[in-house]
Amino acid sequence: MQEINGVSYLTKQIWTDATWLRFLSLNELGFFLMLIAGVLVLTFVLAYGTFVVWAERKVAGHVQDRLGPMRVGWHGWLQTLADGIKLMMKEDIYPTLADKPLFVLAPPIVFLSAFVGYAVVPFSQNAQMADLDIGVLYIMATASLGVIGLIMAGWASNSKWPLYGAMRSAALTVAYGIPLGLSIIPVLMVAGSLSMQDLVQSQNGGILHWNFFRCWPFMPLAFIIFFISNLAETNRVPFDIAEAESELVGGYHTEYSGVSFSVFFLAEYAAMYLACAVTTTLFLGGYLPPDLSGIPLILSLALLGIFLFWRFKTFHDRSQVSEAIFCAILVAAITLLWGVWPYFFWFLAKTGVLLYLMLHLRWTLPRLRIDQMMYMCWKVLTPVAFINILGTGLWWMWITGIPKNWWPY
Amino acid sequence: MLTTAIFYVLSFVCILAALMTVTLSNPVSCALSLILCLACLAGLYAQLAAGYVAVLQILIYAGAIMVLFLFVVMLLNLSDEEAAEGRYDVIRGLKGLICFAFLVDLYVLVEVSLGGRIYGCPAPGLGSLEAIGELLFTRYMVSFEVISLLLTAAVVGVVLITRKGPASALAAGRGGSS
Amino acid sequence: MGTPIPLPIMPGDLTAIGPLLAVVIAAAGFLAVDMAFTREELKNRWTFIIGIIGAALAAVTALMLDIGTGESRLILGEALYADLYTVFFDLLFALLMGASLVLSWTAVERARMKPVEFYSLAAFSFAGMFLTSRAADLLSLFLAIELLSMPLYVLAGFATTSKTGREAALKYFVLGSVASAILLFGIALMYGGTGSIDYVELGAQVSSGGRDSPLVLAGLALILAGLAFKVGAVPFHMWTPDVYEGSPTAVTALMATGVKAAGLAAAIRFLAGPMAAALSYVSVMLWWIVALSMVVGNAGAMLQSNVKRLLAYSSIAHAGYILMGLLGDSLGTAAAVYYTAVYVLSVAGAFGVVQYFGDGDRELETVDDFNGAAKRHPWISLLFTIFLLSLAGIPPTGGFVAKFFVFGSAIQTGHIGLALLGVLTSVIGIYYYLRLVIAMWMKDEGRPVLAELSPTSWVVLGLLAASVLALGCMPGWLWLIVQSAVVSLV
Repeated sequence: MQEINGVSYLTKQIWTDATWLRFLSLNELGFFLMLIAGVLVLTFVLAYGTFVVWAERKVAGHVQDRLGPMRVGWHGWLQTLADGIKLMMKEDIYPTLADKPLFVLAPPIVFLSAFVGYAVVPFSQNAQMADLDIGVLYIMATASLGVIGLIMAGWASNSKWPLYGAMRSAALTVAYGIPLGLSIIPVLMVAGSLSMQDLVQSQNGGILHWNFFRCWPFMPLAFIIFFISNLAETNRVPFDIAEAESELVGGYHTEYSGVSFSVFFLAEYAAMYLACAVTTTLFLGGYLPPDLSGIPLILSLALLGIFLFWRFKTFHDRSQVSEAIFCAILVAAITLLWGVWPYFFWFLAKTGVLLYLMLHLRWTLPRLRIDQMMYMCWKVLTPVAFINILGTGLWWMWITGIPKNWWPY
Repeated sequence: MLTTAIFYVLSFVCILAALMTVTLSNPVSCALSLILCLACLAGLYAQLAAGYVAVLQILIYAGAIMVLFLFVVMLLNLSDEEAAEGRYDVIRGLKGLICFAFLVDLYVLVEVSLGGRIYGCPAPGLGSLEAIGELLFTRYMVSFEVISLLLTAAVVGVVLITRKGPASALAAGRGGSS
Repeated sequence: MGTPIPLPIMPGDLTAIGPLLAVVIAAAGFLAVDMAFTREELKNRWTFIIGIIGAALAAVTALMLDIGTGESRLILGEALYADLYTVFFDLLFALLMGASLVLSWTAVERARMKPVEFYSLAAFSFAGMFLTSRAADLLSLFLAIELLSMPLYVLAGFATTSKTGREAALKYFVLGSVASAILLFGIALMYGGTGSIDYVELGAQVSSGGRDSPLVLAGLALILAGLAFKVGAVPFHMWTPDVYEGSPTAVTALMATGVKAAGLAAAIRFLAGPMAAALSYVSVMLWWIVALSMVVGNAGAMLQSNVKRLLAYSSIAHAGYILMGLLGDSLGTAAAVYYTAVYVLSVAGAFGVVQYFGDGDRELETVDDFNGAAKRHPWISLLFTIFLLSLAGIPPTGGFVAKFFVFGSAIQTGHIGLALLGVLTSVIGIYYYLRLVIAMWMKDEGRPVLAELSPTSWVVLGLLAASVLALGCMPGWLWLIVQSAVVSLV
């Protein structure tokens, strides 16, 4: 017991231990490196957001038998940029009766809550800002703050549609946080860690070691629950009652315009990508390449053959034949490049597939009612998630053997 | 240096937010200030190498409990607290005085009994996930289980409170699906 | 992944928390019954069966505990105690659970609660009670008290439609939460001052001079205040009369018996156990709590015409008498435990009788409503009289012996003034208890209605009355048990 002043003692013994910085797993000089990394990630989010908004409009167009944006750039790929510039030029309008400080603060908070989660996303083995020992929980915690921004926006707008939107999103987020948290427990049980890197490494060893392909049917079930809950947490269709253009005129962002509105927009896509990144890390092997050596070569070739046969049967004209040949070449190229591609691209590819799923769902599913959502959350997803934990535990015990002395008598 | 600065910023904002929580008149602003206070507290936990506690603080309090608070506040549509009592009301002054006395009291308590002494430095890895998990299933296993009982009781109680009408009508209408 | 760490469950530990497990299983059983059956008769029948089995199992497993040499054993990661003291209170609470099942059934249905709902929540509350007597650290203590209060917050208000009922429920909830906060704050200060929450470690720190620390002192005072709140001792008694009056009688009975006994069990374990060194430090505070409780409780009860309020104020006074025992030496502690047992038996009986008076939705409220009860229902009036005499402390009932022990130990340890005050206030107590007795036996004009008593109710009431009388006539055997239980505390 040292007789020195409390604060200085803490400063010397604990703080110079760089705990705060250890929390971000960087040394003291690395603080500035961290800033640079932050800017890099921000750039990534912005660039990728621009791309996904375009992709979403293209998907929407093709689903509805349209072409989508075609004018600005090749197939309209610069359309988002043009829209962004337009939004920035527009006036920021504040409603007269709005609670101005909250109104202004809300969009940055929503964006920040999604953005800070990127600190622990393992884009690759080394491309990760901080490998926290509680990485998954960290992302869940920061992501759960987003709804507070939505509530602030809804309240500060001082208008009924935003308020309804805010209340709906509050109810939704709190409810779906439970299956979300429960569905990752099977993965954590198998990996024995919450660190994102450990989670990825625990799936090392080929596609059959990915969590999605392990422990059928429990892990895929966890994957589905996690994916659905993420849709709800990010307010995507079919859970977009917080925005609900057709009833709430846009929900919480009804009163927003100009840059504030675009920040909301960006935040939604940032949260979406974050959700996909976490899903990939937890279930799809993260940045690891899908080493197929675990699967017999014949099986994969047979699958490819069946796929091609099925495609050719439904072909009607030559252009589709050439498309199929192109696909086959692409598949072959991917197969050849199997282990050669850098991790980062595998990460992008996997998250891209999940993102496409999200976009496609948005344009194919109708919006659910709040009672249907609550029914699904409390009476379907939550119990199934609990059973899932039990099932995974039993499976894991079957694999590793029952621990000795588990019963005291 | 950097960490000291962060500590003081976090503490200052935390205290300021706590004061705002009790002094602001709009209930939503109060709740939001409380969230800020809790977030700063989480930052302080993180500085003490208790990352797990910090994250749970945000996840549970800021992310779930306070959201429900806000939800209820908005549902009840509470207006600004009536400013009926005058600014220099006696009761208000008394409240402030009691709070101040309590603060001084706490300071004296801590100062006199600890006097700058620290009861040992936390062992490395004390706030880590492994350490907490181990404690939860060994030393605090009973508490852990009792909390689960407590939550079950709370859930059963909530179900009883929220269902409408006399119990018999419900049983007649819906069968035994209670 | 590191090597798996075994759970801290030693052979025999599960038997040691057997009563707790039994009542938790019963709670799960109640919920299952509510889910499984649709017909009310089936639900009721199975609720009763499961409840009785649970209470019996709790009693049996309590008796199965291997006491060994009579010393306290720390079990399950040193979080709980297992000794004769826990066995004693386990039996008391198991008895209470059985009595509540049999005697409160009519009152539960009268208050428009479904028995299965009432008992599923009450079972959780009983689980909390079983924990309070065996808590070995402040965290377990706090959780036990929360577990025992939480279901009662719900039970106090969920079925009431009256204004007083809602007021009572809200008051109980808000003030109970404040009490929990005070208790928790005290625990925090205590931990800040000593760096530990274990009773043993705390006791060692306090007796080795750590008690000079103002943090520890403030923590002790706040913990004592939080416990006094649950026990309903002055000056933390304000909620008691309103809540006792407004809550359904079945819930009031639970509060007056179970909650109070559990709070006392925790307080005695805390103050007379390893922390005994700290007792001398809070003895002034305890002295005032005891004196004020006796005066305010008895004076307040004298002014009441409502029976439930009267019993509420009298329960405040009894809390004072019981806590007086803590001021003495180990004999005083034994007296407090003895008094608790007698008090619980008498009040359980008294409330058991009160619950049967009245018909339809109405129950008897004022003392005058009991006018002429003996003429119409002599046997039950006789039982009621026995319980009231025991509460008043008139021989040959247990109440007299208990008061005798408590006052005796107070005089032995030099608290003569307090003992004198106790005797004086007991005289006031006799006045208002006899008012009820006189109303029943000497006035004719009223015609109180009695609900139908099942044979089991008669048996339980008779047993309670017999045990109250037995504790008055032959106190020796229980006194010996209590003394060795108290010895095992330290």
